[in-house]
Amino acid sequence: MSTAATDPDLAGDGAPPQGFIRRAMRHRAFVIGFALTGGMVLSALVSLLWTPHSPTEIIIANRLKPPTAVHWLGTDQFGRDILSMIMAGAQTSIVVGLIAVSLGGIFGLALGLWAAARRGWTEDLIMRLSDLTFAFPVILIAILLTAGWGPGITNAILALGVINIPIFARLVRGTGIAMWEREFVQAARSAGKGRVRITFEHILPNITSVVVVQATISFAIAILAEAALSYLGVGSQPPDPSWGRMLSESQNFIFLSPLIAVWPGLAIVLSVLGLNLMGDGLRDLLDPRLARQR
Amino acid sequence: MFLARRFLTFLVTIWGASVIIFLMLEVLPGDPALTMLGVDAPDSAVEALRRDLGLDRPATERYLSWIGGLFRGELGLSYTYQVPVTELIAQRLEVTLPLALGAMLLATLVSLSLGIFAATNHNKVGDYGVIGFSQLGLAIPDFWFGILLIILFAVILQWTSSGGFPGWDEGFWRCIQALLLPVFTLALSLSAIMTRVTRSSVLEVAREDYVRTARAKGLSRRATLWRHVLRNALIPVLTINGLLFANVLAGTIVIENVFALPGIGKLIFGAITNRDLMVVKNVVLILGAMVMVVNFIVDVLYAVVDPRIRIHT
Repeated sequence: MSTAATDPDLAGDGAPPQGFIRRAMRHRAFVIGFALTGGMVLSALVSLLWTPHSPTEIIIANRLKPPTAVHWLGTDQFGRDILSMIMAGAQTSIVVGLIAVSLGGIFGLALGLWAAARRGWTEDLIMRLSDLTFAFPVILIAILLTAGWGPGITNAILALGVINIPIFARLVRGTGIAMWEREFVQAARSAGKGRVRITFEHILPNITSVVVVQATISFAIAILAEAALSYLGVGSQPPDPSWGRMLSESQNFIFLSPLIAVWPGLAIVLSVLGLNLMGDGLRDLLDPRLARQR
Repeated sequence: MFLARRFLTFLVTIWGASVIIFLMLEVLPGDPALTMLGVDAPDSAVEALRRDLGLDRPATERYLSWIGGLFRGELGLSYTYQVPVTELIAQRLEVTLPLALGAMLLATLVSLSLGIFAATNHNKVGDYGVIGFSQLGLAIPDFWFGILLIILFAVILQWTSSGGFPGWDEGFWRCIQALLLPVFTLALSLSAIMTRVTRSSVLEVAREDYVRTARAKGLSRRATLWRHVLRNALIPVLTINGLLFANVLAGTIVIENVFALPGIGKLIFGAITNRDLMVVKNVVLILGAMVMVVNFIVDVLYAVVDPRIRIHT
């Protein structure tokens, strides 16, 4: 990739600019967000190898125990260790978020780039289709898929991915169109480069920062949506660990043991907060023009 | 001209939605009759149900008869309840609509005050407090917030029950009481988004040249805020708030399940569990249509208020 092609205004495209890490370390929101997100990823990774107890082993004699030295966060109605379940639940959240965002990101990016390069009726068609998906809240789409194909995590992921496509497509189209107007793209055009080449050599490298920021925020939304869908029973199914399903099960025992309804929710809040803060931080760090306006 | 174009898009979008819903539920792999009865059902029963549901007819014919029924206001019979789907939906809206509108109203009030307060105290402690509130509001899953409210008010303080709905015949105030916690729950994340929008819109307008001019000609800070800033900043805010109606409806589906309210959300989940595709199909289309109608009205109102929109599109 030739560096001459990138936009000098947008520090942070392609390779990180000099001192990026130093600037990032000084950005308080980014540091907090990064730490929280790191915590979530770490607990998911550790849970692959080790959890304090088995997250699925049922010991009825141990049911609904308050937090103790053995079970730090207590046990649920089947005597399962809550801390272990939360650690393993991070896996589900991360997998769902990753696949849903990649799905939406890849297709949305392709459609958005195409719309920006081609304009005309292709653009119209893409934008009208995305209007349509905007009218349908993700929960409704997931419900439809579930009604047609039966409940399961795959349908939840599909629904979340589908809803992300127009979000990325619109963003990429808007930013892309602005890029096509820029002098360096005009120069490339007059030099005889084709639309495809310009898209890959000049447009794509210059919109990565916008896409990365959106991906972080979409990830957070996907975690919230997965939790809601699993809470409703149309997301991940037993015995897969899931924060949303832990909450729905805990509600039946809310008068006996209210605490078990607190922990999984806290896990969701911290993860989502972390991703959102990190996204906001990245926006400031990658796009100084936006940061100045705030 | 703008109105005609916008109305056409609106019609096309609703039509598109109906096609997609139909395709997802009826043409894609999977036999609705078999799903309804379960895999163990005898072949003869499945065959009979297929005939009852009209599944032996070609797909285009089934689609046309569904749409034709919609125009006549006939949505068919619910398979599980054996009552017209229209009746079911009308009944459930008595709970869902007050819930959604109440949350919209509460969130608008909260977010306008917080947003304007934060913008007028830009980069001060109050501003940071509001930003913190909205960050937290965005990160808290609404159904969990509902559970926390139940723990606080039903389990610990024992002021209310943990959910349920008495029905409007049982007295107005008892119903309002039953809707209070759900409305608060639904309004939390909504006010978080709206507050962000309000704050940044007011800040943006406050930077405009005409605001500086107004201050320069000696208008007081307060008068500038009311006469110039808010008047221009709140139009986009109200538009975005209107567009958030889709989120509110989606939210009611979840919240009704938290508080065991017999609304549209409960209806659709019951329908999915019972494989009542007739209900699922129509409820999803009606919810989608409601969102599109609101978006349409918001767009039109926006164009009425701001003539620039009419000219540019």
